[in-house]
Amino acid sequence: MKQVLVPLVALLLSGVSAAATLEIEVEGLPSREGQMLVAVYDKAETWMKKPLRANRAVVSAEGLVKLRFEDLPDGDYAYAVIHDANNNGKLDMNVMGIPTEAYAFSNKASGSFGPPKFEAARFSLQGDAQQRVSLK
Amino acid sequence: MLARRQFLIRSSLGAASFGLLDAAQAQSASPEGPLPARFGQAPLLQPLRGYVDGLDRVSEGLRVRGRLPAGLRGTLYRNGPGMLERGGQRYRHWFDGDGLVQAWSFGAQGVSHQARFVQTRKFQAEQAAGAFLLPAFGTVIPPQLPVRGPDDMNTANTSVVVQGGRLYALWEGGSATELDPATLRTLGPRTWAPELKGVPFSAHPKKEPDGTLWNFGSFGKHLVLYQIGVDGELKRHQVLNLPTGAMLHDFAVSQRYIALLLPPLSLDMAAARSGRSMVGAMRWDARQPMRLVVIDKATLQLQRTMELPPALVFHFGNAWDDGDQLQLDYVESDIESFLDGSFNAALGGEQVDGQGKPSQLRLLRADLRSGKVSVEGRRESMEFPVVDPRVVARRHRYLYHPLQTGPQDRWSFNAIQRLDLERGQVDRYDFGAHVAVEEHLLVPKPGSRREGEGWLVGTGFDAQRQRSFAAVFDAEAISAGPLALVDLPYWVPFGFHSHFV
Repeated sequence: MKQVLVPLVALLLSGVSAAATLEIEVEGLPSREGQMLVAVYDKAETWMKKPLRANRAVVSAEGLVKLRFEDLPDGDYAYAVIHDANNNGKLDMNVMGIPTEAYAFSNKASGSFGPPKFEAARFSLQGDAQQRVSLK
Repeated sequence: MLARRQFLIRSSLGAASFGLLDAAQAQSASPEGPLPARFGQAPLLQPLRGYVDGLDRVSEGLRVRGRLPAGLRGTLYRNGPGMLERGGQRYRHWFDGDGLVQAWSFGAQGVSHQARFVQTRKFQAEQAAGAFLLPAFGTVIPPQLPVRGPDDMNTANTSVVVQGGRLYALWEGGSATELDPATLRTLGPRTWAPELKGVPFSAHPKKEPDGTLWNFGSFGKHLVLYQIGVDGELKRHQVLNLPTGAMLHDFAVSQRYIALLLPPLSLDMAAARSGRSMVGAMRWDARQPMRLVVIDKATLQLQRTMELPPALVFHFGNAWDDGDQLQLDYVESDIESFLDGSFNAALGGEQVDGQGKPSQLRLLRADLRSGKVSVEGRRESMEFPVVDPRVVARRHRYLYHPLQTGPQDRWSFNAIQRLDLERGQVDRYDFGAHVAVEEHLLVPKPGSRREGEGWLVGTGFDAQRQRSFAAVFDAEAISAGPLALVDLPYWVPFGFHSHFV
């Protein structure tokens, strides 16, 4: 009996994955220039300050971008995507401090004249996921 | 009998206490949410309804009463809030409505007219949805689309200007929106320089006789100044810090200076973020003075600040200086009726009494050496002062403006006049109590040199005919009445400011 139980328990326990892949597809870009920057955060304390992971991808000829994050443990995350149209590696702002490049957040969250709270952009990652974000 | 008593109890307590509201009504029950779409029958107020269908209007071969002067050629552009109602809801504030730009074209073949909505991101999304989706200046509407910056709420509704052959619809909260000057097709927001993308560009630029266009944009305690050349390109800009944050609508330009009047009216950011409308978040501090800020045009730096008794100012006439003395004229408005909403009571189409204290002309003299300021006032109930474009930022003798000559309780103006500042005399024409008169511009007669030699051209609404019209006067003989009246086969919504090219 014990010989049967141990493999059964092992089989049940293997459903708790420790390595999920998150794929983000960004659409609605204002132009085909430049690159997409994306930063993933895992807690409110570091939200918009210190990303857990960051990635970038050149905008394709069709105006779409796909970004991948592998080996993410299941849990809560939030991310911000920026269309870096002039490839200077950051979100440009006008003299008022308002961004002049397009950006968006996970969970369709948006703030009022500023980023949304982590809780508004937060989603739960349970295994591999594909998400779509629009910059419109 | 029982049913009637139940009905009376319900109507006296109000639907709210029965919890019978649906989501839309709940929004209306908020003190600053949209109003229900009811519109009254007052004949003089019908154009305040706006064009509920959101469609453009075009007409040609317009009927002319009288005779148009042969030398009058060009286009009168106007702007104003043309969309005020969607999906059973109305805006609370006149300034909320989406921009409808008009072009009255005076040509050899006669006069034609177009009225087209500015196709901003906001307008296009709301027209497709048949509902308001974004907050407005005076009405709280929870955003259904992301609001990332001022241009996401841009209504492009306040004025128009042509510079370097390009036409712009102006709204002080955000960018100028470019339109095709012939077709009024919307081309998109204008960026003057990369670091100025999305920065406010006021609805009151000033064009000097040499063609230079000056403007400002205000946000919080900061001011940006724009100097734009005849070619339509930005020549210089400067970001300045003001002594206090203030709501700034207009400014004045003289030979050497740029002048601003900062009323003690500021925005309470905490209130704005917690759900009040922009108007609801405005704070008036009667203990503070109004500040006259004088900026040197050569260096674009603050020169000096002087204090005056507090007043609400929207519009300026003109300004001039001789180096030591700065003279400017402006219109002082009633702060109480602006903040408490009685200014907008007419927006429901019902005739209401008491529009607050009348807005009146003020003539200011500032001694830039001693810092002394003196102000004289006139008593007419008036607005929308303009000068001959050839004397902008120069010493001017004449101001032209609409005014109310009858009872003070009507919402609009019934007459037009030229004020001679040298002699203190007026040359006036009264259209009658059934007419609402709007801004009129001085169009110089081609080939003339004398200030005021030309035509006075503007629009109005005839409440008896329920039609809008354009009027053309000899600007040196206004009391003789219009030379010509051009009739539209419909009315257009009331508007704000114009530009003739």
